[in-house]
Amino acid sequence: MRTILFTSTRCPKCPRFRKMLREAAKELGLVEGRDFIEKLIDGETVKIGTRAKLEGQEYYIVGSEKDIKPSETPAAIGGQDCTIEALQYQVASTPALIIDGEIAFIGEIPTKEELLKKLKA
Amino acid sequence: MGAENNNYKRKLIVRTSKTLLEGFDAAKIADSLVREAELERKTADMIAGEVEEELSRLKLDYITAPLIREIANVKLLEHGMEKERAKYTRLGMPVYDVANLVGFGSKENANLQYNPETVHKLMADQISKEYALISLLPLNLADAHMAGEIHIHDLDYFIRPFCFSHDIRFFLKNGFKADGVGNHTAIAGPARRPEVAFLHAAKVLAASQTNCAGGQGFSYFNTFLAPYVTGLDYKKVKQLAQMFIYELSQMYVARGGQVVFSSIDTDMTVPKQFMDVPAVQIGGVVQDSVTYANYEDEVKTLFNALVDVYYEGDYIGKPFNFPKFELQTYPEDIRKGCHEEELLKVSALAAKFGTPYYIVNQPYMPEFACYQCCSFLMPLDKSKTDEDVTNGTIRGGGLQVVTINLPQIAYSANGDDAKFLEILDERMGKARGVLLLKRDIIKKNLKNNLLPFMSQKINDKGEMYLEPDKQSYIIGLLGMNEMVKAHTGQELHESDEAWRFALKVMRHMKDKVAEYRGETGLNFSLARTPAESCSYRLAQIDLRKYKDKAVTNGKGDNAYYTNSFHVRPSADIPLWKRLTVEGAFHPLTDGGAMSHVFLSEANPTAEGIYELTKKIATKTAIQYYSYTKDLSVCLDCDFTAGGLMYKCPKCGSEKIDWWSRITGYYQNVSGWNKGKLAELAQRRRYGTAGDLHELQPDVRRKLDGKLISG
Repeated sequence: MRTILFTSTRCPKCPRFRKMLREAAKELGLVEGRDFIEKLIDGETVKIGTRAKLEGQEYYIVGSEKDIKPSETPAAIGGQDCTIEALQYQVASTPALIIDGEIAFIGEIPTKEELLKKLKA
Repeated sequence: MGAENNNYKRKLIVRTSKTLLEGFDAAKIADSLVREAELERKTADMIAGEVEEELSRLKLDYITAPLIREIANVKLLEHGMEKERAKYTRLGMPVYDVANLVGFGSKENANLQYNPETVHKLMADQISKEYALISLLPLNLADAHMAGEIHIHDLDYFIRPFCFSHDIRFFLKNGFKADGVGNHTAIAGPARRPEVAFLHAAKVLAASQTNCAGGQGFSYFNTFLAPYVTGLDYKKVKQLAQMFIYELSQMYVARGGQVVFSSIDTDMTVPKQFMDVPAVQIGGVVQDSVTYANYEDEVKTLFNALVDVYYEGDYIGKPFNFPKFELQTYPEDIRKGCHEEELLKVSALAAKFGTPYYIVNQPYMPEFACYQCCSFLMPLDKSKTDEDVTNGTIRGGGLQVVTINLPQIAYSANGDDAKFLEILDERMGKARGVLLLKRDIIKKNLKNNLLPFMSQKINDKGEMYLEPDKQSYIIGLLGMNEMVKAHTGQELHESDEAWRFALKVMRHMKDKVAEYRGETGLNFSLARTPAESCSYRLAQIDLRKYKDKAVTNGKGDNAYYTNSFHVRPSADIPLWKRLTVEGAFHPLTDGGAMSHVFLSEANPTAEGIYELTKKIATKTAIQYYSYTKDLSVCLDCDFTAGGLMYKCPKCGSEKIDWWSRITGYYQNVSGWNKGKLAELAQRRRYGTAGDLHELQPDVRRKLDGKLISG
């Protein structure tokens, strides 16, 4: 997966980032589950197969990227603890966007232009 | 008692420990047994009588008091009185060991020169360490240290707190008493001249060192001293910086003939948390209308002056190892390209000498993050109050460090995860026990005025300069790499599974430490241990005990464990892989972590260092690191060259001193222990572009020779 957004269910900055990522993805024709995914680092707090309300919008909670269906987005990977995986990507605070295995943004929300630029690169 | 014995008693002369010659008197033995070992009078008389019988059998003319005591100890043991013997025993060293110290010195601490003060210190250390193990620590904790389950650091200084981070504003406002009370030293008022302020700063660290075991440092050093360089031209500011650095690298008076283990945290700009804080100005004057925001130019000037002095080195061009120069950086600023000029200048210093230590204020770190000693993070958020920020008393330190020997747990767990965690919890429980005991000891010693500098009052409420309950209680770890090798069969860098298991262990430790914080209300923290001596000591213990099962680096008496969660120093992997593996562990330490980039190039470029700095700060989770450049100093022509050289590139002499970073500080290689020497020989060195380099064959042979000779 080229792009991973690590978020948390309790992070105040994450809702804006997850919304902005999907808007930018739409503009660039990126497909959720194929080109990008969102992973909840505290995903063990939500159950797979349920819908979690994050910033007023419902997210389908899935166990892996393969389970994301185009008709069931936005989706987020949950039901498991993703903190170790996040740490392996050098992520210890959210939101954090990983592109091609490297940190693109962490702990801050970029402008939409900055985000588009990174996603296009 | 027969006539023969009475006759003997009259003749026997005792050489007492008060350097007197006295006639033998068994009653004195009994008296001391009652007083020191708390024996009943009747039992004491019996033991004393048996000692007398033993002596009469030996038919001596003279005897020393220590030997009488040892005979009494044997009698106590014969009667099953082990506890009483422990109280009555004598601490000291065999003549052979003292002769060795006087004749050859010691290599346990690379900071110690072979000189008379050091010899005296090491003799005292031995008694102090034995006292801690025999008298202060309960048997189970002392045994845990002796068996290598845990390593209790600085046992020779167990009656002192460990390291401390100071706020120079306290002394700028209130003046300075070197002994903490003014009874034994002159008392100085608040500095009214810049020179005095800088000299006070140097003397504060020297004075506090007399009360502490570990490093002493200043946080926000150039920010808080900025008001004292107002109106001075650059030349004068540089002179002040030079004076301060020379003072701390030349005052050869700390802990038995060594320089103060000191550090300064520096800022490239006024930190945002002090922008609105009223500044302490010349004479200790504070006005609400004058804040640190008014001193942006002075902060930068002093910063540049300090870097310039470090860059020039000493009179012969050798680097200053102390005070350690630490730089506060912020990934967001680096990403935006802020402070490029300053960072390039610091990069040039790193390229020349490897001097700087980079503090990367990652998003996960506390607002007030100060690095101290070898690499301990003082999360001053936990110890400070808003009053401390405005009053100039942001201070704190590590009270004690205890390291967990992780490989040994793996040897006992035999690949069973649950068993591993069970033993780990038990060992961490022992570390906690040591740390809580240390708290009691320091509280008692503060109350008894044994630590006068640290017990000086800082306000009308009677708050002490060192408040034990505000210090860090540090649990460290050693040999994560060897642990996963023993437990999973692969090293940290060899498989994702091993790396993930190590991260889970680390998180478990962090959670346990958080549990201790919750239960005690004390600031327990998890840290990367410097492990200058324990990486060697614990590997040697385990090799003896576990033989082929032990996983170590190096062989036999050169074997050592890899420090904390580091990748094996000799692992043949790209630099970025090394930094990424280690970087994942940094957020799991709340008491400090450090990664090393061991440079291979004799003359790396500032630009190369700067590019790598940007990448490390913005693409990894690393919070503290340094570039280590090995140095060769010619003893004939004083020339300093980059890299480990066999011959001086200037005059061809083979009389070369090698310098490198032993752990969190630079030191002459001649003082390194065998484990660290083996590590030096095996370290993978990289170019700033990440390429691997090997040591020259003649250098390697010389290092191998050092390992054989010790």
